[in-house]
Amino acid sequence: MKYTAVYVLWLLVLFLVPLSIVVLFSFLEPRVHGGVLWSFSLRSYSYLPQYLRLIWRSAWIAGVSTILTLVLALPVAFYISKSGHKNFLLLLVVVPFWTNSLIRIYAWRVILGNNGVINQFLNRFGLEPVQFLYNPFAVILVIVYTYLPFAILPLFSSMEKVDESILEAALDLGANKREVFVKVLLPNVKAGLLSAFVFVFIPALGSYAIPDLVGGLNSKMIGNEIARQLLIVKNWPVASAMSNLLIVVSLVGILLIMRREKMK
Amino acid sequence: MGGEISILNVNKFFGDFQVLKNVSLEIRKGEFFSILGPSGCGKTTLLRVIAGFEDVQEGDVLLDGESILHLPANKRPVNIIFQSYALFPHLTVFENIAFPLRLKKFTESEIKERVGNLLNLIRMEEHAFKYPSQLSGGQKQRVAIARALANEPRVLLLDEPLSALDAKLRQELLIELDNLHDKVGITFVYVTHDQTEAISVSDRVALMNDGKIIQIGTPYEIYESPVNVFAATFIGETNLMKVDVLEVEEEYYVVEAPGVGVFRCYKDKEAKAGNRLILTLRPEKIRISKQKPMIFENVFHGIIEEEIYMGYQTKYFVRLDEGYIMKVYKQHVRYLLDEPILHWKDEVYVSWDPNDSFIVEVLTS
Amino acid sequence: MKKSLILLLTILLTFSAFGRATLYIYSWAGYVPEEIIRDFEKKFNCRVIYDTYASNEEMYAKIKAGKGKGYDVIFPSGDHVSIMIKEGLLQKIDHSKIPNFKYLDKEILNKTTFDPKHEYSVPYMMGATVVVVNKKYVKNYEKSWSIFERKDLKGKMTLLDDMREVLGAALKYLGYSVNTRNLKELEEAKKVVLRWKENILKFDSSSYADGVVTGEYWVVHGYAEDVYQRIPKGEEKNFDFFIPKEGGTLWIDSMVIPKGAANVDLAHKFINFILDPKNAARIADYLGLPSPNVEARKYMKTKPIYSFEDLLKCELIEDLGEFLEVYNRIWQEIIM
Repeated sequence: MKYTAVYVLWLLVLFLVPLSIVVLFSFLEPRVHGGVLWSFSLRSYSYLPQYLRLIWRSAWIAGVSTILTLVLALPVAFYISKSGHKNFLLLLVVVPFWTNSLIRIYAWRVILGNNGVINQFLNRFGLEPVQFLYNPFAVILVIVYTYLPFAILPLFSSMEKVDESILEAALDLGANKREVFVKVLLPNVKAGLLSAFVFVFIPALGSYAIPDLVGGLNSKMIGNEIARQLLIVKNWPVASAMSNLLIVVSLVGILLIMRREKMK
Repeated sequence: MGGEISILNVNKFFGDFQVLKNVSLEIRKGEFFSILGPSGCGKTTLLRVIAGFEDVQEGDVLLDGESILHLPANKRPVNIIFQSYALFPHLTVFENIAFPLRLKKFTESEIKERVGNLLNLIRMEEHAFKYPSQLSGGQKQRVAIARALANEPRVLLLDEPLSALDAKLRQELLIELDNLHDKVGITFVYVTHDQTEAISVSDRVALMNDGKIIQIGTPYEIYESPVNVFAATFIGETNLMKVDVLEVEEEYYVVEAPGVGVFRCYKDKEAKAGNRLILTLRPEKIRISKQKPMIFENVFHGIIEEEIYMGYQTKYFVRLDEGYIMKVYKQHVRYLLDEPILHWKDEVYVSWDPNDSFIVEVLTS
Repeated sequence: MKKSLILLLTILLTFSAFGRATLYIYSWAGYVPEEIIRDFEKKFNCRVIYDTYASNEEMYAKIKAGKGKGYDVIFPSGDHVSIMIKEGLLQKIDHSKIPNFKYLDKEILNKTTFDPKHEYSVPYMMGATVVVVNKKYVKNYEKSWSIFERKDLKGKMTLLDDMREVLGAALKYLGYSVNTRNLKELEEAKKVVLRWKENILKFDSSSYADGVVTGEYWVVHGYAEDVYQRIPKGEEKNFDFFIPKEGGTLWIDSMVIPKGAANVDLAHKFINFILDPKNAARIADYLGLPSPNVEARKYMKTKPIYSFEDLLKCELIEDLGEFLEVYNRIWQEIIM
């Protein structure tokens, strides 16, 4: 009982109240230098259609990043779940979090920049420098790098629960390694896949620092525009409306996936 | 249809630990063959070597005369039934059984027919569209068997398939397994630590301990003629006695056992006077009565120290006058109408036929 | 009983530890030299907490949300000074407590259109948004905004991710005011920026300084002092900072005291301390900028990256009020 109260309070103060403020503000009129006027308006939502391209770009960048992340995380999680050094390997997966994420993003500039380690190397051999950064693919690369641990951990925990003998049984019944993976392992780690998807897709969709630092002219995402609307344009209602849009897009995505799972 | 397996001088190590020590076995076509042993004796490893889940450092495994060691598990015409059933939780009973058939790209109508036949064989037609989590332990076991049979393997490997079930169900399924074996006619290799299971259904049994084969034989041979102390004590219960040979007769030895006294035993192994023997005497072969029996030799007097009523029989622990505690199992049949019922603290006579004891080992002193 | 006693003791201890007056400053990172702050602490036996922000917008959002509480001295740029005055977030400066105000250059004081009578703000430092060239990679160039038209530098240049700065640069390039309310002029400026956009790598306000110093970018539009502080010793000659000949945007950062300041007296003492000519000279040396403090120029040891005269070609970005909406729309059309 006592704990329920704490939990409800926690949810209320840290989650529901701020969210309600964002929802409320999105239906109000902006003040010129920030803040809101207390009169109901749908004007901020009428701005959203002009961001269709931005929304679409954010969605595909986040979607492609998520799929790549899952594809990379699956074998890693599988290997760790079968390894004799689980704790050590999991520690390695988590180690990057000990460094500030901004610093890790900057590290990619040092590695892949026009004047970065790889290009200096190419230069030494008289090769033309390659511009790796400042495009959507650089953004995808760094998103995948940043969120890979978020995919590995839930996948690992659901793979660890899979009874080793069903994999052997599948092999015994004539399945090759690929078939064991696709027909037996994957269907039995659906819950982990779903969590991994949610853990990666949602923050990826709201990326802000990554497109800012390694993106170029055509890789701004919706998070950058929200920040601009809030801080520079100082139109709080539009920023709120865009945040709500982000929430709705994420929710719809997740609900669709969960429903498809149920139908099966 | 059934395959013949030869295991030739197999040695296997896990790191420094040797799990299989020069194991050799011949399993005949269509045989119900059990590998029996305590946990950790290497019997499951041996089964997994046959299935293809474990490689070996030395030796060979032949199926119908050809080595199968180079084949991966999914290419061997043998199928295994796991202790945990290993049913696919995400598939229905029907789809579990159809799994190997779909891998082999059977047509939908062929799958329907073959799965239908198998469901009929295990009497699970009405459960075809349930998921494993909705089945009882026995049902899961039967589905696992049907799924393993779907591939029409030459050999079916069973890894302690009944160990997770309760005793009554175990009995039923054991009989069912036996019937199934008769119907499908393929070779069964059955791994168990339960001697009752092994003895009751097998054509032959291999007894394993500590990575080695101790004895191979029919259940009768294993039970009646154990090759050593381990075999004698692992299978069934027995009275083990260290005895000294006093006199060698034509068919019997006259021996003296500390705590028992002097008696005769059948001369089934060669020994000289003065040798020390280890003797096994099964408790159900011993007679117990209040009156001193007239017909038998090997009669000793004692007191019932413990009485365990089992329903179908009663176990008595009788302290002989010289001190040895002898286990005696008595079926509830009255040989004589006036035979009184025996109780704790009763004074009794135990007796046995000299032909019923068996010399396990001759210790040369 | 025992518990409340412990609580009381804790509170007393906390008070004694923080017994010295504390001045809360909110400013740009590295904007006020560490030694100036230490000297101030020593002289007035107080503690200074120096909190930083990365943009005027970030500072404004925080102060606005906190209704001006939490800090004693803030360093906003001109347009934000006027916004904060309009929003009623600032309190008036008591000039009787700031005798050193007299040393400030009249030319600068005349330019502070955001607070002409200095009722709310005291200028701290001024400068222009400049173009920085890494001379290792770019040898020949004209000191003009036209550098962003150069196809041969395509993909090696950045403009600030800031609509007023970029549109301001384009407007100056065309000979218009950076605060124009003329739609035709703005449309022309938009065309210029769209042309520049073809040649730049990105709009970048967060990492251009590192970028140009490491050679990642060759030509950047930004704030001189940001880049200046990052240049390794001995490499100064490789970098050129110029105010384009067409002129550019001028910025004046001022010291203000928010309405909710807890330590108003100390805040005034701090502002006066900054205006002390010897201290002002140290600050200008440290930032590499010309000092707005006439008296301080005598004590300066380094030559600033650009001269005071260059600054006079530049124009201050003013708050446009509702008209900003038009700038927003045009900027939106540029970046989408």
